[in-house]
Amino acid sequence: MPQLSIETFVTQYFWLVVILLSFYYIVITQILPNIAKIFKTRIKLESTDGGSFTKDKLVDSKLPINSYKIGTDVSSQKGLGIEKAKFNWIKKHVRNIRNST
Amino acid sequence: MAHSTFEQFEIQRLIAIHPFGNLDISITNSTIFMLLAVSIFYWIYSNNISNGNLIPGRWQSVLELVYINIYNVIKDNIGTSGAKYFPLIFTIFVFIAFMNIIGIIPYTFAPTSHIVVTFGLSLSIFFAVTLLGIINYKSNYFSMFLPGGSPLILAPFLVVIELVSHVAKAISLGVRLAANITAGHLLFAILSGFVWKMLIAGGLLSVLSIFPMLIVVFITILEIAVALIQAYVFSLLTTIYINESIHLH
Repeated sequence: MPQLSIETFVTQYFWLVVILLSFYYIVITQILPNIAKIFKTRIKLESTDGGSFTKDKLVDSKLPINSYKIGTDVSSQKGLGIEKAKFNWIKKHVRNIRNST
Repeated sequence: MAHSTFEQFEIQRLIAIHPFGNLDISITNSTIFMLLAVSIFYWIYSNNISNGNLIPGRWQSVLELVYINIYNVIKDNIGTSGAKYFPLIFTIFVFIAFMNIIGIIPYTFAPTSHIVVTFGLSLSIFFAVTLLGIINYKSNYFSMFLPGGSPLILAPFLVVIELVSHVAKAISLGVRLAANITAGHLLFAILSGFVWKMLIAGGLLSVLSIFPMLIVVFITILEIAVALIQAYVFSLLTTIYINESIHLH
């Protein structure tokens, strides 16, 4: 059974440690801080003023946006034209409903 | 026949590296798939978080969900003082989950199907947790083996049982992962062997070969679930063991 062939143990464990520790380093320095930035920006913007995430709101809040590089688009707008059309339809009709009530 | 079902677990040395003559740290297919798992996660991360949005898209939501859920695992089991263990649990979960999932693709190799990889992880974590307890509590760490409120007559008996169960925790953490992944891959190999032999036999068996094929489809879905659940269970148990050694029971 290949799992029990002892001559392969050293190489597998060595590369496991090397790859795991370098991945741990990447997680600590890059991945976790960048994900946490998005959460904290979101919470800060929500707590100061309503919930409209526009670029002016991001500038007004005095957060260092240049280093954060967090976009304020709705991601579905970047995609296919059909999603953009749906979004525009919803926006148009929601405005009508809001104006009528 | 028995030989071909285990062929998928063979370690093949691709670039032989023998620094001191007998020491063998070659680059094998296991290395390549571990690197692939890390690279694919880094690729998903770098395409979706570096240019992330405040209103997340699909992959960004997935990554945020992974972050939030693993943070909740740590918060529920260790408390907010355990935030310093969060990167460790995050990297363990993502590493094992991606290695398991990539191994389901046909003709690939799952590094976690080898006991040395999972035992290496689980024994390293177990040593770290024991050292953590001994450094924090010095010799009071061994009070963990005699639960409070038990009659003193049973003490020798109880300590032996608790020691055995403690060691069994370390072993089971590694064996659980390796056994689940190996069993799944063996099922794949055996059922696919059935389909092939039935197709070759001809006649009624060729038509009936669709049933093992459907079972293989079902087993694929099951294996994807098992891959993710085993990664979650591994990281959850690691958190519980860290909690046990920080707050003695």
